[in-house]
Amino acid sequence: MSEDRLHVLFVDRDCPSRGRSVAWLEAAGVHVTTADDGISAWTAVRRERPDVVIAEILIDGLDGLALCRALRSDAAADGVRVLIVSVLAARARAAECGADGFLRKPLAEPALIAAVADVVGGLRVAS
Amino acid sequence: VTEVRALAAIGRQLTAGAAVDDVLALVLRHAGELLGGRAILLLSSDDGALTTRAATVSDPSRAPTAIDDDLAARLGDVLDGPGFLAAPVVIAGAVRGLFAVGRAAGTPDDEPDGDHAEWLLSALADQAALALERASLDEGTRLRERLLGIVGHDLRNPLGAIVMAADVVLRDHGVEPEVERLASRVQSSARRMGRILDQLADFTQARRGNALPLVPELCDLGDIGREVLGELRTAYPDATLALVCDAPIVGEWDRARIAQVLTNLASNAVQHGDSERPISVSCGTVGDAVTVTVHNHGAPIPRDLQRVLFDPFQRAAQAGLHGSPSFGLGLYISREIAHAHGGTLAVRSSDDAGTVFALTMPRRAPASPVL
Repeated sequence: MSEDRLHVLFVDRDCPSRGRSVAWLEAAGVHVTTADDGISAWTAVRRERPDVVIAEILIDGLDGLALCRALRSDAAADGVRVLIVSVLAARARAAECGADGFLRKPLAEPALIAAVADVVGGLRVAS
Repeated sequence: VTEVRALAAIGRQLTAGAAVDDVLALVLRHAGELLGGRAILLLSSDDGALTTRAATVSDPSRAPTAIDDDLAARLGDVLDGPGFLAAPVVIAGAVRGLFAVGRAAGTPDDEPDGDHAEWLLSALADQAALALERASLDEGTRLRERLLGIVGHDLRNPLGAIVMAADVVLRDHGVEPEVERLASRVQSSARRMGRILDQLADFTQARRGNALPLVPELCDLGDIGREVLGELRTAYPDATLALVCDAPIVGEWDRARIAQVLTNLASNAVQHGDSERPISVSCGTVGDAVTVTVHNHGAPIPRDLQRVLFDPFQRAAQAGLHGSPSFGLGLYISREIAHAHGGTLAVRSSDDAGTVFALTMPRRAPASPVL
């Protein structure tokens, strides 16, 4: 992206909680795009080169953990940070597949903003 | 050690081919014992709807019915407490459901112990996924074979009527030449369909684990070879077919079945061999056994293909087969016939020597078929 704002790709089913999370991130000055499933997320990463991918595990196509592994082995996604969010308890599995962070759902605004700031090293996020 | 034992017990059931419901029940029981709560296995459809596949919960009607924002609350509800662990059920790379287990109060899953529980749950979810995947494969295979059986059986009667009607037209000497030509086309096409149905019937029988039934009688291999080559010379007037059989080789075999093998091997040789060079069918003895070889020149069969050549439907999957009427079942059935006779069917193929199929069998077909 040409702009200087942080770019987050949010991967989850299109549900109200995704809408809320996107709104919180946008309020914090983040540019947010979305994908509904793992496969379209993977192509979106290659196309958009986001700074951060936030992915739920229970998504169609490629699950969030598999998406993270795919991104980690893809040179085109080099440097992209991955934050796994899920209703499932998956902290250890998220770490194993190379994710930079994990948040258990339901998400709360401060925790989400803090986690995104944490994976990008606190840069460019208005708190 | 308890946990490894539990996983090993489930793995053993899986490899022993236990019914999917039994494997899932075992997965749920161990999950409950090891993680201390009730368990539920939910399958998801493409639109995110969830159905309960197996559960040890007190009230399955409270189970979540969709992957949505209420999922966590509904899972906590059905598992009798807000603390639960859940893992995705991933089949063939895609999320097909989730496996959730309630946690006794006071075991937060972010504790060091939580990692351990998470891995255990993940391993159990994988075992459940394997059982489900295998069950769906088994069901697909069963369905396909039943369908083939029904098709093979039910098409036979209408086909018989077609052949008979064409016979009647051909027997009427007053018909126009054009009608006669068409009737004879109908007849030969219908006969070819009949042969395909025969193959399907043989295939479904062999797949069900039954040896093909034999009607052994005293016969001479050379006689069978002559009869088969005679028919093939009519069908392929341009091919050169030679029989090498110096002395009578007499034994007790199913004459029609052996003729079926030779017809299959020799017509393959005509279709795939070098049309400029002869095809030879040779009979001989090797110790107590007898052997018939069918040899042709031409491009050798690639080694990769040789390995799977006798598997059903292989030939059909190979490109460039000059529109041959083959279904890829001929060699599979030929080998089954060899086995039913207590014998073998093998292939050798190379650049210099060409391709040789060899049927080797005892002089007497076993009384009870050997698989």
